[in-house]
Amino acid sequence: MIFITLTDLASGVPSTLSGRRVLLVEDDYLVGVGIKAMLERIGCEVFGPVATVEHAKELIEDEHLDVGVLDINIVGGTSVPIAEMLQSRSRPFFFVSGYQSPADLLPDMLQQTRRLKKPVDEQSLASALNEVMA
Amino acid sequence: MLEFLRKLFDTEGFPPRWQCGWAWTSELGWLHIASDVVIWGSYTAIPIVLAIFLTRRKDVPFPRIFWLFVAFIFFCGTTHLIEAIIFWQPVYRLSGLFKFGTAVVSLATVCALIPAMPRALAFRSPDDLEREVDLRTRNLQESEEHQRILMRELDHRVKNNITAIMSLADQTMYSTGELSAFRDAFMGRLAAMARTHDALSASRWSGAKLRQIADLTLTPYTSKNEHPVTFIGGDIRLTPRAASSLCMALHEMATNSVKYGSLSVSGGAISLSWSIDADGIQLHWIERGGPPVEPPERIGFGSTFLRGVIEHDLQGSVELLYPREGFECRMFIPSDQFVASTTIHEEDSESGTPPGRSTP
Repeated sequence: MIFITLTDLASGVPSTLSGRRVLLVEDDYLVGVGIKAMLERIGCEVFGPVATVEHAKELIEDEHLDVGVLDINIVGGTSVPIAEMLQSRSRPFFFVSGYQSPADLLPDMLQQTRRLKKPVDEQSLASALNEVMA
Repeated sequence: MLEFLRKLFDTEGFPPRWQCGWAWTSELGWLHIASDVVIWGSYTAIPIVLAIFLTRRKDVPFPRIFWLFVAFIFFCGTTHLIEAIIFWQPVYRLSGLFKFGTAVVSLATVCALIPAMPRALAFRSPDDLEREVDLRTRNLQESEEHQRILMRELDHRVKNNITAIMSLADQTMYSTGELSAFRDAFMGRLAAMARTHDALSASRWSGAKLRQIADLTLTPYTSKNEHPVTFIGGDIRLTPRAASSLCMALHEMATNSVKYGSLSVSGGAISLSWSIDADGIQLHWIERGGPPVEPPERIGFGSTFLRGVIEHDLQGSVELLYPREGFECRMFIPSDQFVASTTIHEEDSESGTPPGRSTP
């Protein structure tokens, strides 16, 4: 809870993240649990990390998720199909990528989607979450 | 000779051509005169244009031969002019002199031209050069593109690694109490990552052999020669991703064994066997000769981590077994995590396995 206050003070946005159900797609386990820990510290309930489109789709079907945090490059391709599924359900999401210019991996429709560059920190995660859910 | 030059313009003793013979008609005479004058005009214009070209373009091949052409055409043209003049002024000495000059220059041209032929024939046509330039430009563009992709990939890997190390520090910190315990656990995991990186970098990121990964992961914990380590299994080559994950998994088992298992006592043994089938690789880690095993009361970070790298990163599976005589672990890695043998750089990936440590 202290973290939420700190983060929100820093980013200047009121706390809306507590208890949010976040889908986390990241195919590197260590990176994934790191981001998961950060999301949990800012009060989110995290589903994942999942490494494949298949697992992500199962979670989207089964859980009532509020928002998606998606690594662009994942096992067997990109997370574009997951983004499209979230989009079709009017769920906000943003991308996380280690690539400097991941835009060429994305279709036109997703070019404007918010992107965070790795390595991410709690503050940038929190402000990106607030931004896409606003 | 001197006499000849002195009488160069002397026409005495020669009739003008009009009066030479009796069959000249006006038409025939003017046909000759007009043609000779036009030839002279053209044969003067051509060398002038050629000379201008030669003075402006310094890269023309065989410039001396071209200058000989200039002289030869000019002389030739002048002889035609004199032929026309002879219809009125029979300057046969002057005509002879110019014909001689033409003969000398044309002979010199022939002499220069013949030895130059093979070199001229070897010249590549502009079309040919154009094609060559196109090909090289394409190759250059491809290699630039390749370099761009490599830089991008490198950047991506570095950032991913930094993120992973941050996470590793974070996770290890939560699971270890004291700073010294954190230091040992964190540095051990980081060193395992670094060793895999070395092996993969040596293979130019084409992959690594399972045996090599097992060896480099276990060596730091079994180097005192008091722990028999046996590897049983054929040659299997792993993708870079599988090599990294398996290295982390084996590292967790090794450090766990050093703390609680067979590596915690002298003479404790480890056997790692693997077999391959259509679905993937089955690995079996067996510890023997250690203290009696009790199933753990809580799931530690080590086993969570071990599961994570195999189940999450490789879509494999992990089964932890706790028979009293020694800890065992069965792992499955799906077949898409192998690489074809031809894509591995053998000379690099072999180097990590010292002889005699492993029994096939």
